Amino acid sequence: MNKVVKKSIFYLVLCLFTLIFLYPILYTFYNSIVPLGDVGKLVSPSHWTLENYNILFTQYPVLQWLGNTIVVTLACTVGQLIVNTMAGYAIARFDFPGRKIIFNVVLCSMMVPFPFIITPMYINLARLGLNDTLWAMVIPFMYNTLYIFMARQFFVGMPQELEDAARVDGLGHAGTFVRVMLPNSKPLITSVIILTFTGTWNSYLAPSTFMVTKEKFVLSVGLKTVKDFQFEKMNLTLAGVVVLSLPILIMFLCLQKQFVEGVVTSGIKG
Amino acid sequence: MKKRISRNTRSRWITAYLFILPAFLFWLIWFFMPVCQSLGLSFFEYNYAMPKNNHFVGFENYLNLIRDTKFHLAIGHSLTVVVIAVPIQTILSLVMALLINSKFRGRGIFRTLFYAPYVISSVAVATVFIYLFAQNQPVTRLFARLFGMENIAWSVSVRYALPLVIMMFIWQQVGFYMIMYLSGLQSIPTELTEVASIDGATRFQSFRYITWPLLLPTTFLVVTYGIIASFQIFDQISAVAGTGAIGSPGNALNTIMSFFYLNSFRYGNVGYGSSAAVFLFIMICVATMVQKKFLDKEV
Repeated sequence: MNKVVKKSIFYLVLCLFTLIFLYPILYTFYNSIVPLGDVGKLVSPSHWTLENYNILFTQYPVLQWLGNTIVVTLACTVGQLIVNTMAGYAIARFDFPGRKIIFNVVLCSMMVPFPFIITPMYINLARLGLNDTLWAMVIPFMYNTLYIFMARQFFVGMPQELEDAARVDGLGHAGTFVRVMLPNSKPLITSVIILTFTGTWNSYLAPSTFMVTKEKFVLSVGLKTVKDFQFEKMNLTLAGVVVLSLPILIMFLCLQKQFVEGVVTSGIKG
Repeated sequence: MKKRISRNTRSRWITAYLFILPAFLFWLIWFFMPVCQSLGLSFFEYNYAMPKNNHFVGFENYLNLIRDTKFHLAIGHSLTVVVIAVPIQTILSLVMALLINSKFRGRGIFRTLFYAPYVISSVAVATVFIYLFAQNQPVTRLFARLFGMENIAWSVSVRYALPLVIMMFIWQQVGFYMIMYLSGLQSIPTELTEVASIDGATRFQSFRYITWPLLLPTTFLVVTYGIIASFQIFDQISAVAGTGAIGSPGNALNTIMSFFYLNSFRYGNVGYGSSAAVFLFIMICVATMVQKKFLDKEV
């Protein structure tokens, strides 16, 4: 009896949490596929329509926003991957004057919150004439001290034999890095790609601060303007939410294990 | 022979510097310089609109900050978010981790579901929550019935806007902390709790005296991360404000973060805004340092 009670409490709590997490998601998908008149009502699938998405893509520059988001995200991901792994590799595997200082600088930099530097960043971008261009969302975000730290931790654990073997095969430093080290660091590379990709795709503070022209918005900023100006059209705005979230959600569902591993390695930075 | 080694060493140094160079340049221009500028700006009267008028004012911005009642309000709101959000999300994430860590079929699905909100954009989450808590929506009516709240749109209510932001923030973040707790739980050897149960300890006792103490380092991480993230909430506040000034409705969402942003980017009062940003930075640094101290002691 006692065991039954315990089991039922367990499932009750689990169901409660499931409801809390599932409801907003279903609510969003459902309301994005019904006409405005049916919002908030449960209607038969014959009423369901993709009209909201059609309106969204034809009356707003959503395609343009999507394109901008993809360009910015890919550029940042590729840049971050190259710049951070190179720096992490050097700090991990080379002994050179100033290594300790550089490593400490990396650690200290991780403590500074991004909002603290956004104002001068904006001023400097404006001086360079880069504000309100896609470059503003790419150039300052080509490195991340957290990922340098992650790369360093990863490369420190690599066996020395691997490097020696590469040397015997006549590879130089660059060759060793590109041909031997990188192909053997899949977990690191996937973590950095996932973290940069989702981080850039979802970023809002910097794009909303640096961008003015509507056509140059990324999706997160664009969606917010749709919400602000079409607030009564809940179905339309929620279709925008789906467009913004679905790519990341699909990526997450395909790469769950890697997402979780990324969290654990980046979370426990000690 | 000696010369050859030293040349070799030197070439290794140069290679290392070349590998670090790109990161160093980006860091120098887009991190180190802005950090110095931000500190410097806080000692200036600096306005985009009237660049001729920019001049050094010493600590005046800071003195004004201390006297500014709106800033007091901002500190109050920021601390409210921290004091409410952090304990709730820490407890919830621990409960969720314990639920998922017990063996039952399909637990992977629940882990995925609870973690999913964390990977999507916070503007998207905020938008959904604004609608969830709009007037006459099922959730708004539920809260009205259960807790006696008014059936109104929370996002435009001075009283309900802050609770709304706290709720959407927790809903999105809690899965992340759950994952941290899960990895903490998985590092605890199961033999420990098994031995305890053989010795006649109840489930609660074995949690209280074995699991909980071993999870302390994770808890410190979760708490300090929570504090750092709470201080920096922006996307949700911006979404709730809509076309209004950030911090709307009224001054309900006037936090240190929105106070800084409003002054720097809406009023063009960059010097004053920067002094608020320095304040934010110090608060976050203190939180991080406390975290480091505790962790060093525990681990």
